[in-house]
Amino acid sequence: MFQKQPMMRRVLYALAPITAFAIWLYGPRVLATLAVSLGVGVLVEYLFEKRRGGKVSEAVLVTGTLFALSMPPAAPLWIVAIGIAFAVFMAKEVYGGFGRNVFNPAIAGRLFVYISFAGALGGSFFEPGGFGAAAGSLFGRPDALSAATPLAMMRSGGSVPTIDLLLGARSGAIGESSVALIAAAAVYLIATKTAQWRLVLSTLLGGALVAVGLYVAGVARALPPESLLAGSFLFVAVFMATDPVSAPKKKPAQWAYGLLIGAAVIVIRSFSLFPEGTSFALLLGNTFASLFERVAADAAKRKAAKAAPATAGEAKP
Amino acid sequence: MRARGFKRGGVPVDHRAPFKTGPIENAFLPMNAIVQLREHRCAVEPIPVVSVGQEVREGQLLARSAGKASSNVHSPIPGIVRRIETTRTSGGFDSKAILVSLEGSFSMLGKRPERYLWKSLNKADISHIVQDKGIVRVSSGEPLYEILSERSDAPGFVMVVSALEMDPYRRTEEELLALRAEDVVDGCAIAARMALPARIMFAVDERIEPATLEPLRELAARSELDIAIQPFRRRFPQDLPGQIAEAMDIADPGTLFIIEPSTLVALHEAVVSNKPHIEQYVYVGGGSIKRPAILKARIGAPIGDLIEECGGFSGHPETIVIGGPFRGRAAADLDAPVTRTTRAVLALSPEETKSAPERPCVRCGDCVDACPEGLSPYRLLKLLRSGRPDDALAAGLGRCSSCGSCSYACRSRIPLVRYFDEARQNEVRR
Repeated sequence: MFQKQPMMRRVLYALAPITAFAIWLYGPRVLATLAVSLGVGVLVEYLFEKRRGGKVSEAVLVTGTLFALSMPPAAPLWIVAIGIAFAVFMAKEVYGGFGRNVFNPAIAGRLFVYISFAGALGGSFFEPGGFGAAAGSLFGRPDALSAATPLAMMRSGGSVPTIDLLLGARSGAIGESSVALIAAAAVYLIATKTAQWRLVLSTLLGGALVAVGLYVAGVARALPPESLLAGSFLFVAVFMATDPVSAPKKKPAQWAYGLLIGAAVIVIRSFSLFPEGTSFALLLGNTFASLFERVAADAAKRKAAKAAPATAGEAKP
Repeated sequence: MRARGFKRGGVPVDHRAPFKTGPIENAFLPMNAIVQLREHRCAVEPIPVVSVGQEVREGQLLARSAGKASSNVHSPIPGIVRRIETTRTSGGFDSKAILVSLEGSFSMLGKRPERYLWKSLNKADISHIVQDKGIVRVSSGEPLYEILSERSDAPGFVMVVSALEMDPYRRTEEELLALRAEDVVDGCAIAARMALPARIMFAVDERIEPATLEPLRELAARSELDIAIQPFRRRFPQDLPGQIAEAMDIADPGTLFIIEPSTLVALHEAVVSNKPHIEQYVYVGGGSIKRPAILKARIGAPIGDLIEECGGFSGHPETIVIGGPFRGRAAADLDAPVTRTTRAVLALSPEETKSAPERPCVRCGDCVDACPEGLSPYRLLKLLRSGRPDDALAAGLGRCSSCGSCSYACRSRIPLVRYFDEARQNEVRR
């Protein structure tokens, strides 16, 4: 039923340790979220591809996993189902399926539910550790919880120990906590040429430059530089910004794309109503990707035309 | 000297299949030679001057050049003309072919080659011989007299003798430099008399054996020509004017004239030994060949014979490729004949081809990195698949040199270059 896509499989391998760690943080409920996300995602894609006569791509498994990992740990499962259905349907299949979408589906779905159900999701964070001990029951929706995420704390002027940020012992979305595991996944993905290092590096660089710049300039609302480790910035830089379908391909365009995303994350985090800006930033980057690509291609074409007016006739028989 | 290379795109070729060097052997004579008249997709078909049933001598004219890009064709073996018919060539276009079956005695084989002192010949004489003997540029199939006379109209160009082998297998040009350096340099002098180059540059691999390089350097110094030897990095495709110009910081690739040692050897033999272009140095190798070797084969010999001479297959070959692993085309069967542009026959094992079904484009951009011309192959394919060939041309399809780097780099195994070639053929037809 599935198309074989080795590249997507490698992303799944890279996500496996992160998922395992998330189960330790938040308990078996993570598996329920994941099951709903994957099940509904595959179902929606299957319904579409059946009509079109195509096969379900393995990419939908990546989309489903990434979407599940970007949900708050206690997110209601019906919201998860709506989000992933929106992601696969509106952000992927209506564009014509795999390889034709403009926006990253997982991010589009995540942003859709974050805006639509801001209250329900905003209160779905809880303290990590001990297989979701803080949630009380194992599977049931934990009541009376909601822990402030590090980003929210920093915004209100509080400080968060950097060591907690590094180890991942902080509340947040399911898969975004562990800096070490995400970094390891990045190394694996880049080493196997699944992810483009330029995209990861430029995104991180863009974020770091703006964050440090704002902090050093003493802007009132600037977050401390360690806020780069909080929220889903790293997760997005490694897994979403490198999505080959929605990212540009030319080298200069990739630099511009990453820098834009990184910079936009920090600007939105610092100055907007939302505590987290990664989803907006990524969709912004997706929007500009084809423009960057075009500018880069035109520049290359001008250069080629200037350098070699005679090649065209020579090279082709 | 510092090795040079082009900066953008291409495929690194660090791995090399082991190869035992030694004198180049003559391949067995084919019982039946199938001589293709056209060497080039755009060539006008030469007109046969023999008829079925006629007896021909070795080296006798079979067909006469009839216009642009066509060349004289000679019989590689003595025998009887059995058939004249149109067939599909391994290059993917149709051509008339003449089947000669072996009979009678040889007029060249086994005899000591004649040696004319060509230095007394003038430009017109040499040009006439080159045209008469049907010498073609081995890398492209264009008649040598045609491209050389075009060049002589615009002097001041750089003649690049390219002995670069850019795949893990082929060694022909390097071996010819090692074994027949004198003939190659002499061939240079002949070509230089026909079309005056400003200077001559030997393009060699940066890791060429010093034992090959030293005698060549001496010969170059002793000749009256302005010959420089320039090492290049081993990266594919390094034989296109655009890439060599970029590596050498030459602004206009149009001032480069690229020729390979094997063509120069054929030129030398034509002028000095009065021999038509009926032989071809073919590298037979790949993981499924027992004893890879370079053979001096007669034109028209079936590639199956050559493979047999190299010990046959070891294991089951996944595919048999005529030409290089990047640009070459799969042979339809083992009866495909050697032509004047057959430089290699590769029998690749499943481990080498790692064949996999074509998968959908993941838009990873690997093809963009690999394209030496700076195009976006994935985008060109998308435009072609949505029925917009004009937009694809506007996006640079015409600049594609069919090097095949994109197909090689593609992780979804999309044979991009094949689609581009097909699209451009349709364009020509339109």
